[in-house]
Amino acid sequence: MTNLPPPSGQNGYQPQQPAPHLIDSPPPQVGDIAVLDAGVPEENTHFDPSDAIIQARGLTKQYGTLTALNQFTLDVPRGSIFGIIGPNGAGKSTAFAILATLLRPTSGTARVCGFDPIADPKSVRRRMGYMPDVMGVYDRLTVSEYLQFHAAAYKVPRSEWPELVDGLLQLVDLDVKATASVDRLSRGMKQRLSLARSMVHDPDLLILDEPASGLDPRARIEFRELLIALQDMGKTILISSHILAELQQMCTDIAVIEAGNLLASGSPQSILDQLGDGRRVRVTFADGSVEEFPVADTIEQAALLKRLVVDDQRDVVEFAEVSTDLEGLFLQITQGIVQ
Amino acid sequence: MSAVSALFQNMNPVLDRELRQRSRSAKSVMVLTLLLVSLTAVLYLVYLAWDQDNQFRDPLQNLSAGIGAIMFEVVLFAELGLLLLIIPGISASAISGERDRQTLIPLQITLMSRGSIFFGKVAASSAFVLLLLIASAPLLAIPYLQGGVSLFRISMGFLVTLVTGVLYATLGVACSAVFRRTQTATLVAYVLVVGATIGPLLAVVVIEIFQSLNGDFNETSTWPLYWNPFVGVADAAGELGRNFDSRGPFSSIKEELLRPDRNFDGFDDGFVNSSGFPRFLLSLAAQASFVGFWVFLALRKLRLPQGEID
Repeated sequence: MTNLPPPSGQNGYQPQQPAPHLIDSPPPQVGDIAVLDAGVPEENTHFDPSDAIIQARGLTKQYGTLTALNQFTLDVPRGSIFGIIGPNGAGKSTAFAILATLLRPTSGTARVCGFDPIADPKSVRRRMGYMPDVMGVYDRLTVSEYLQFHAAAYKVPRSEWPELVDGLLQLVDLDVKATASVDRLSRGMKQRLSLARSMVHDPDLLILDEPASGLDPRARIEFRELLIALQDMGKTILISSHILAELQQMCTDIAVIEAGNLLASGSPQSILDQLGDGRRVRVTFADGSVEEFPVADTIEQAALLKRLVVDDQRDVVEFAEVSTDLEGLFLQITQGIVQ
Repeated sequence: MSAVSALFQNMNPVLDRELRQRSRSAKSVMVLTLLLVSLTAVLYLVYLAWDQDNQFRDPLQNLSAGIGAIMFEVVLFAELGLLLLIIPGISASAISGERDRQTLIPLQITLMSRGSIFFGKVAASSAFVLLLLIASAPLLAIPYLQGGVSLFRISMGFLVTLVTGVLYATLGVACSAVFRRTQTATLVAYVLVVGATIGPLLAVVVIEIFQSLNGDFNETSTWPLYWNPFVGVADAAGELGRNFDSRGPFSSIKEELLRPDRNFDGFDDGFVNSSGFPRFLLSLAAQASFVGFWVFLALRKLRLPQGEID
C-alpha cells in the first residue's frame, strides 16, 4: 500500500505516541454528523497511493503541552491541486512547514517527491517550491533582480537566468514590472512574484500557504487561474486557504483539518458525500408544502419520485437535489476550536 | 573566462545581493561620510594640539617626524574605535533583519547551505568594513608624508585593523542569527564589543589584586589583554622605545600593557612575544576564538529543519 519507511526513528527523530488526552478523548461530534477519528481519515480511494507526491504518516508536532498537529496522515496525488482547509490555528502551516523541510515533527514520517524532508531536505528542496503565508521583500531590488537572486540561490546556471526570468514574469503577468522595485509592488503583484520565486528551479511540487490571503477579488481570481494553468503544466499544488468557495472551484482534492486533527480528505464531492449527511432532494408539492428526503444516489432519487407520484399519488411540482457547498459542510464538521 | 569574471560569475548570491542593495543605500553613504569627517576632525585636532605644544620649541629640531607618528596612531586608534561603534550597527541586523522582513525562510529553503548564507552575510559586512578602511586610507597618507612612520607600520596597522573589523562584523552577523529580534541582536553585539574592550582590562586588574593579596609582586600577566581588539592593532602599529613626546596611543598601549614580554626580552621593538610568536597574531587568534564560539551558535540556529521556527 505504501512504500514509506516504518515509523521507527530511522531518520533521526523518534516517533512518539500522541498525547494521552487525545487518545482517550472521544471523537468530536458536531450536530448529528460523526466526524472522523483523529488520525484515522478515510482512505483516499480515487488514486493509487504509490503515485502520491506527498505521503505523510502520523505526523505529530507538539510544543510543550500544545499539540499543533496530531497524527496527520495524507496522500497528495501527483498532478493534483490539493487544498487544505481549516480555521486559524488548525495546524495547516505546521503541516506545511514539516513538508517544506522547515520543521522537525515530534513523531511520524513523510515522503515529499520521494524523499524524507527530515533526513534529506536538500533533495526535497530541489523538487519543491514553497510560498509562505507572508511574502517578504527586499528593499532596493528590482523584480528581475529578485528572481535572479533566487535563481542563483537555487544554483540555476547564470546563462539560463534571462530566459528563466522573462518566462516566469510572463507567466505571472509581471513582465511589465521587470524593472520596478519589489517593495513598490501591490500585494497581489507581490503574491504573484512570490509564486514566480517558488518556481525558479522548476519544481514538481508547489506548497502554497494561504497564497490568496489579503488579495482583492480580482487578484484572487487571477491567482486561481494562474494555479490552474500551473496544474495544466504538470505541477502538483498543495494549497491552504480560508476561502472555501475558491478551493472548491479549483481543487481536485481537499482535506479538512481542525485543532491539529485531520477530519476528512478526498475529492470535494467524495467529502461532501462522505460527511455531508448524504445527498438530499427537496420536493415542492402542489399545496405549497416543501419536504426534504435523504437519497444515496440517482437510483434512489428515481425510486423516491416514483413512490411520491405513483404510489402516494401526490402532486409534485418541483423535485431537485439540494446542493451542499464546501462552506456549509465546513461549518458543519468543524467546531471552531482554536488552539 | 578570466579569473575576475569567474569570480563574479560564482559569487555568493547573498553577497552579490547585499552589495547591490548596499550600494543603493543612502545609509552607506552617510556612514562613510560620517567616518571620514570624524577622522579628518581628529587629524586636524591632533595637528592643532601639536602645533600649540611646540610653537616655542627650537625650530631646528625635527618635529615633523614626531607629529607624523602621533597622527598615524591617533587616526588609526580613532578609526578602530569608530569601526567598533559602526560595525554592530551594520552587521547585527544581517540575519534578524531578514527574519523581520519574512525573507529568511524563502532563502533558507533554497539550495544554499546555512554556512553559505552566513558567510555571504559576513562577506557583505566585511566588504563594507574594507570600503570604510580604503576610503579613509588617504588620511593615513598624511602622517606618512610627515615622516616618523614607516610604510610597513602603516600597512601592518591597516591589515590588523581590517582583520579586527572583519572579526567584529562576523560577531555582529552571528548575534543577528542567534537572536530573533534585531534590537536584541544589536544590543548584545554592542555589549560584546564593550565587554571585549573593557573586560580584559578588568581581568588584568583582578589578577593584579589577587597577586598582591598573595604577596606576589612580580609583573602581572597580561594574557587576558589579547582579547582586547585594540591590543592586536597596538602591537602591529605601535612602536616601543619612542620618546614620550612622539608616542601615540598604540605605542603607549604596547609599552605599558605588554610589560611582561619586555621584562623577558629587555628592549623589544618587534612583534614577537617571549615565546617567539607574533603578539598581534596571538591577539587575533584570541579574538577569533571568542567570535568562533558565536559563529558556532549562529550556525546551529540556522540549521533546518528546526524543532521550532523563528
